[in-house]
Amino acid sequence: MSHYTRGGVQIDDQGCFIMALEELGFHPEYHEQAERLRGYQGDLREERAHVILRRAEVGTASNDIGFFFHPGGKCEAIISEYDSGRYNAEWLGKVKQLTAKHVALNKARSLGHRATATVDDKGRVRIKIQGNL
Amino acid sequence: MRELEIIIECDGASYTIEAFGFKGKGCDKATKPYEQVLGATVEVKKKPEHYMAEPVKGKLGARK
Repeated sequence: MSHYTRGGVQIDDQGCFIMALEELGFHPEYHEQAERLRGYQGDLREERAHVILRRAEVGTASNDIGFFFHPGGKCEAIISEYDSGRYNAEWLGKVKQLTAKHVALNKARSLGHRATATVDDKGRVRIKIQGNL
Repeated sequence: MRELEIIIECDGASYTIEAFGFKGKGCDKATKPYEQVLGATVEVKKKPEHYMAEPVKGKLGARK
């Protein structure tokens, strides 16, 4: 049984966080009440999460990946040791980058601005915003 | 034409906002709503164009 490790990141907008995960090809589950994760054999684990990536789309012989939201917005990533090689700090950074992109695009929409997002050759997200600025 | 460009780094930890076509401190009003949702500003740089464009740097996830 692979044990889970936890790492924190500040996420203020859960909707944009879920959109970021979807952009990476996942179908995240959202639970108002945190649910228990499942291990690679389908066994229920003690760890609970509000946003869950089920093991079937995490990888072969993988465990569920979970994100637990604490009051105030701190998000705790719960990733098994087995999966932490692939779903590492770099991957979490990508999730955070895409979350920020959706936060900015949502703000542009709410202000009536036109916004287009691209990725440059260094992997940075560039968002051009025009309109009634 | 006035334009903003937000650049979000690969690690998702920091961002830069550059403002183009603004005069004086008009860009502050335009960048502020984005700074508020992306996180607190930690650095502001003036370009040589003297207020024609003002990049704003901030750390993601640390709201004011």
